[in-house]
Amino acid sequence: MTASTQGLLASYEYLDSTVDAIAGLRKAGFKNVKAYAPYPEHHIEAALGYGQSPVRVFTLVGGLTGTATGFAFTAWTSMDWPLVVGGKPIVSIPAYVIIAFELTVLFGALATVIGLFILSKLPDLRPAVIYDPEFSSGRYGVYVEAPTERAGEARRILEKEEPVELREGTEVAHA
Amino acid sequence: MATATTTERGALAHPDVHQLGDVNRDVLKILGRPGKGWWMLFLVAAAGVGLFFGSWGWQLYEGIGVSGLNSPVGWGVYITTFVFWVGIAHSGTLISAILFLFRAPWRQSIYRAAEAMTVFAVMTAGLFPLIHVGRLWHAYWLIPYPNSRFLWPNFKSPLVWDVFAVTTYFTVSAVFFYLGTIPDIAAARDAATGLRKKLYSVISLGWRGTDRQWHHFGKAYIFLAALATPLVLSVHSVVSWDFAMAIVPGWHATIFAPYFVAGAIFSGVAMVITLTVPLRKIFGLEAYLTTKHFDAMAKLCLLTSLIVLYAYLSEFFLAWYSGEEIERTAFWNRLFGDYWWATWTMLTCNGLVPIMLWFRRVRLSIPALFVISIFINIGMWFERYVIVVTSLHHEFEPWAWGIYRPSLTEMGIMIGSFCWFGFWFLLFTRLLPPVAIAELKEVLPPPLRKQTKEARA
Amino acid sequence: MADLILPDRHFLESWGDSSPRAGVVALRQPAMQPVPHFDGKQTGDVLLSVASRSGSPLGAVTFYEYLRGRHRAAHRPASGDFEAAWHRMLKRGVSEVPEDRDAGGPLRAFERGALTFDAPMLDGDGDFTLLVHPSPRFGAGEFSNSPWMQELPDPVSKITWHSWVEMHPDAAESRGIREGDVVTVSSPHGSVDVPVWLYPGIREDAVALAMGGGHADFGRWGSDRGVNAMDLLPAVVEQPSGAFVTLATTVSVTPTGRRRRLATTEGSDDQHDRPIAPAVALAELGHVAREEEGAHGELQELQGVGGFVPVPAEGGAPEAFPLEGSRHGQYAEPEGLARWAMAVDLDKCTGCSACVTACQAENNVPWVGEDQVMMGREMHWVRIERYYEHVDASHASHLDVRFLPMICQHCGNAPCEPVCPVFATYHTPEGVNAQIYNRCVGTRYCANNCPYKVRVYNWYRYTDENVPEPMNWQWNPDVTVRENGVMEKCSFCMQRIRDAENRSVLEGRGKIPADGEIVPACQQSCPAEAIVFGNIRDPNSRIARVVDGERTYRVLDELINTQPAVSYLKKVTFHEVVSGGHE
Repeated sequence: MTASTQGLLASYEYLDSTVDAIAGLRKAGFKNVKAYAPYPEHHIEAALGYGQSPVRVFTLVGGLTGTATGFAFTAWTSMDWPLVVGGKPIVSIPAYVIIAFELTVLFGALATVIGLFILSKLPDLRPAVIYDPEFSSGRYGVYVEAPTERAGEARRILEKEEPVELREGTEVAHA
Repeated sequence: MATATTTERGALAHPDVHQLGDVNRDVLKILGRPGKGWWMLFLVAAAGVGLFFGSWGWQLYEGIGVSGLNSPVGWGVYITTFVFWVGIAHSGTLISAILFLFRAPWRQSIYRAAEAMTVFAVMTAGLFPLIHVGRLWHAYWLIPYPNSRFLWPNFKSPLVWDVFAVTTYFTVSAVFFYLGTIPDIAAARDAATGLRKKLYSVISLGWRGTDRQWHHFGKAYIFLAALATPLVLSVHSVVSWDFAMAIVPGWHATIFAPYFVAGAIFSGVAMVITLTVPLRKIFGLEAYLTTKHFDAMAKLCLLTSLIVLYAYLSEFFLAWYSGEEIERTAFWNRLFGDYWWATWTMLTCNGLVPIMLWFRRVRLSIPALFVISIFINIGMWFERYVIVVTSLHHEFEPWAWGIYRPSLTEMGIMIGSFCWFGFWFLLFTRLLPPVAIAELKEVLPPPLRKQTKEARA
Repeated sequence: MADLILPDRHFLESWGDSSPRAGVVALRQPAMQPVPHFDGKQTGDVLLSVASRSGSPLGAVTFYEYLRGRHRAAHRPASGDFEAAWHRMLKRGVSEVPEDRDAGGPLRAFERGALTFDAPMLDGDGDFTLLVHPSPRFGAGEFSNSPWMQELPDPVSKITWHSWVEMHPDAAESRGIREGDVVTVSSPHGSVDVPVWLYPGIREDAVALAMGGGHADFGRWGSDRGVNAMDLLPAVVEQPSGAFVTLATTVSVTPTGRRRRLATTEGSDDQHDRPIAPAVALAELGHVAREEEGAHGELQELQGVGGFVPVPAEGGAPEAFPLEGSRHGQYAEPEGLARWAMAVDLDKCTGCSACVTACQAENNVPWVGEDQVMMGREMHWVRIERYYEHVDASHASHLDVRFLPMICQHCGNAPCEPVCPVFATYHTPEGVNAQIYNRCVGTRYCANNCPYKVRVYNWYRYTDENVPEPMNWQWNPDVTVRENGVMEKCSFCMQRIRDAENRSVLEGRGKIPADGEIVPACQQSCPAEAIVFGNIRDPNSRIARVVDGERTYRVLDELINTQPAVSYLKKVTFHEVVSGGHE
C-alpha cells in the first residue's frame, strides 16, 4: 500500500450485507476488494466474479507426470538389471499399472496442494495488521483499498450495509 | 438481496446452535483444559505406547523369533493387525472424500474425527510391516533409491505395491486432513492466547479466510477428494493382492479386492462409531453428533456387512463348487480345523451380530450401536487372522502343516498398537478441532439481515 | 570311570593312516594348524611319550616318526627311494604298498552246530515285550553328543532331541493313552518316564525304545537328554558273541497323567491323495512303450522350461500353459548354459536321512534346539517326508511307508521369486532358484508362497548363539554363514557348482563341467545312490537318462505348474497301489 491509498475493513454480521457491500464497491469501480468469511461462501465468490480456479491444471499435470513416471521408472529399473523371477517377462506391464496408478494419485495430490499454496499465497506467516479474529468465527469482512481521494465514497458504501465495526488500516500486501 | 437467501441448507436441528459463532464456542471449548476422563485415557494410552515400543525393542534385541511365527505360518498377528489398521483407515477417507463428492448431508460432523482416525490408523498400520520384517535395518531396501550397485526393488512384488500404496495413502490422507483443518486451526488461533496462539499461527499457515483463499481451497479440496476416492479403493485392493497374488489356497481368489474394500469400510465405520460415541459424550457434542448421524453410519455398516457375508459365503461355495481338493480341504479346515474358533468368531461378529442393524430401534440406540461396533471390530480382526493363519497352516504339502500360536510379544505389540493409535487420537482431540468448524457452518442457515429484521419486527 | 581326560586332536590336525576298504591304505596328514584353544596332542603322541616316560620307549619320539617308520618298513625297494615314494604317497593320500588282501580272512572257522537259537527269556509279567534297538542317529549312544544327530529327525518317528516309546495305536487306545502322554515304562529292572509316540507299524504286544538317550555325563549336547533304554534291561550277555542282550524283558506301561509336546517335524502323515509321493506296482511297470506319447514328456519339459527360455504355446486349449503367444521371461543367451537338475529315485531311498546332515554340514545350516523344533522352526534344507499308505484295502494296519526327500525344487515358474520385494530370490540363467542372503529383508513372503515349504528362516541368531566357540571352526568357508532374519534354502550346493565350473574353465574344458563332476552333498552322502544331479540339457548326461523313464514325476507340478527342476522316480511296490497312487 502506498501513501496515496487507504485501506478500510468492515466487519458484518450478515451474509446479505456482505454480499451487498461487495456488489456496491465493485459497481462503484473499486478494484481492490477483498472479502473474509468463516467458511467457503459461493455467494461472496459470485459477487466478486470468480471463474474457474487454475488449481485443476496443477492436478492434471501432476497426475499425468505421476502416470508417466510410474511406467517409465518401473520399466527402466527392470531393464537396468534384468532378473527373471517366476518365469515372468522382465517388463511386466500389468504389475506396473499399480505403481503408475499410485504415483498418479500421489503426484496429483501433491501438485494440487502446491498449486493451492502458490495460488492463494500460503503459507503467509507475517502478522496481520488489520484483521478481525471474528472472521474465523461468525463474521464476514470486506476490505477495500481505495485511492485517498475516493476513501470517503468507499466508506459510505461500506457503512450503508451496517457493519458491526469499520476500521481504517493497512493490510499486509498478500493475496 | 436475492443472491444470498435462497439456498436450502441442511440445518442442524438443535436448539443450542443458532449462529455461526456457536459452532466455534462448542468446538473450541474441547481444546481447553482436559478433564479427568481424558487424562485417565491418556495415561492408559501412554502406558500402552510403552508396551508397544518395549515389546518391539525386545523383538529387535532378541530377533523375530520372539514371535510365535514358524514354518509354515510365516505371517501372523503382525500382518493381521496391519491389514486391520489399513482397513480401519478406509472409512475415514470414505466419509471425508467419497461422501463429500456425493454431497451426503450427514458427513460434516463426523468427518474430521474420521479423517484423523484414517491418518493415525495408516500411521499405525505402516509400522507393522516394519515390525514384521526380520531385518528392520534393511527395510529401506524396499524403497527405490539410487545406489551404487544399481539395485532396485522388484516392482512385480505385491509388497512393493504395498509400499507405494500405503505411503501414497498416508501422504494423501495426511495432506487432505491437514488441508481441511487449516481454516479451523485459524479459528482456534483467533480464539487462543499465548503459546497455543503462536503454535496455531504457524500451523494455520497464516490463513485468513479471504475470498481468494476460499476459492482455491474449495477447488483443491474437490480435486483431492476426487483423487482420494480411487486411492482408497485401490489401497485395500493392493493389500488384498498381497494375498490374492500368492498361490496359497484360501488366498488365491479374484474376489479379494472388493471383498477387502467392503470389509475395510465395514470395520472402519464401526471404528468411527466406537470413537465418536465417547467423543460425543465426553465433549458434549450431542448437538453435532445426532442419532441421524449414527443411523446413517449403522446403515453403512449393515450394507458392508452384507457384502462381506456374501464374500464369505461365496468363498466357501466356490471352494466346494470348484471340486479342487486342495481348495476344498483349505476351506473345510477353515471351518472345522484347528482354528475353527477364529472362523466362527468372525462369522458371528461380522455376519450374525450386524443383523440387528436391520431394526430401526437398534440403529437409533447409541449404546447398542457402541456394543455392536465393538463386536464388528473384533470380528474384523479375526477375519484377517483367519485369512492369514488358517490358509498358511494347511497348505499344499501335508508334511509341512503346522500350528501357529501367537506369542506374548506379538500380543503386546498388537494391544500396544491400539494404545499408540489412541494416544494420537487423544492428543488430536485436544490440539486440533475434532469437529469441522468451517464445514459445519456451510450447513447452518446463513445469517441474513432481512430475515433477522423481519423476526424482530 | 576315567581319572584323566585329555583333549585329542581331530583328523584335520593329525597324522594317521587308515584302511577304508580291503586293499587300500589311506594316508592322512594335517590340513590345518591345530586349533589354538587347546594345547593338545594327538593320541599317538601321548602314548609314545607315556611309553618313553615309563621307561619302555617305542623307538619313535613323535607319532609322525612312528607312522613314517611303519611305512618305511613296508616299503619295497622296487618302488625306488623311500623319501621320494613317501612324498608321492602323501601327495596322493594313498599308500603304494597295498595291504595284503589275504591277511584278513575269517578269525575262526564257522561251525554250523554253534548256531542255535533259544527262545528269548523274558523277565517279568508286563503286557508288552520291550524292544530296545540301536538308534539310526546315535548308534548305541556313541553319537549322542552331536547336535547334528540330536536335531536330525529320526527316520521313522521324526522326533528330535528327546526319547519316545513306540506303541501301536490300538494298544494305546485300549489303555486310554494318547500320543504325547508321558508314561512310566517299568520292567523288573528299572523304569523310565517317557512320552508315547504311536506307530501303526509295531506289533500290538510290543513297545520299542531306541538307544542313545539318557546319558548322565556326555557333554553339552548328550547329557540329560531323553531316557536310557538300558535302565530297563537286565545285565545279561549272550554267549558266545558277548553281545548285550536287548530282548530280555517285558514291561508294563502306565500313564503318569502328564503330557508333553513331541519335538517332531511331522505335519501330517497322510498325503491327502495329493500328487506328492506316489508309487507304482511292479506289475504295472514296463507297459508304456518308449515311442508312446508321454514317455519322454518329462525330460523334454525339463530341458525346455527353465523360466528363461521362451516357450511358444501350442493350441488354444484353455489348460495349455503358457497361454498361446505368451513368452516367459528370458535371459539374453541361455544357449550354451547348463540347466541344472536333480532326480531322486524313491525306490532306492530308505529314508536314512544321511543327506539331511550332509547338507547341514556342507551348507552351514545351524541346529535350532528342541524348543525351536517344537515351534516348527527346524532349518534343515533337506526334509525327509514320511507318509503312510495302505497296502491293501482289507488290511488297514499294513503300512506302505513312503519316504520323500524334499528340497528346494528350483521351479522354472518359482512362486517364491516374484513375491520378493527386493529380488533376494531370482532365477539364474542356469535354472537355479538363487537366494541372495545379503539382500534378504526377511518378509517371509517367499516361504508363504512356496508350495513345497522348503524355505527355512533364521528366527534367531542361531549361527552365533547355538554354535559356541570352538564349534564355529566347523563352518564351511565356501558358504556364507547367515544372520538372523534371513531366509535360506537348498542352493543345489552352488559353491560346488561354481567350483567345478571354474575348474573346468581354467582347464580349458569350457563352462560346463563334465557330467558327474558336480556332486552335491546330499548325493555324495546317499548310501543308496538314489540322488542324481547334472545338466539335463545334455542328452547323454546321467540325469537325462535317469529322468527319461516312466516312473518320473514332479511333485504337485500337474496341479500348480511350478515346473520343478527336481524330479522323482516313483517307488515300486510289490503290492497293488491302493492309495496315494495318483494314476
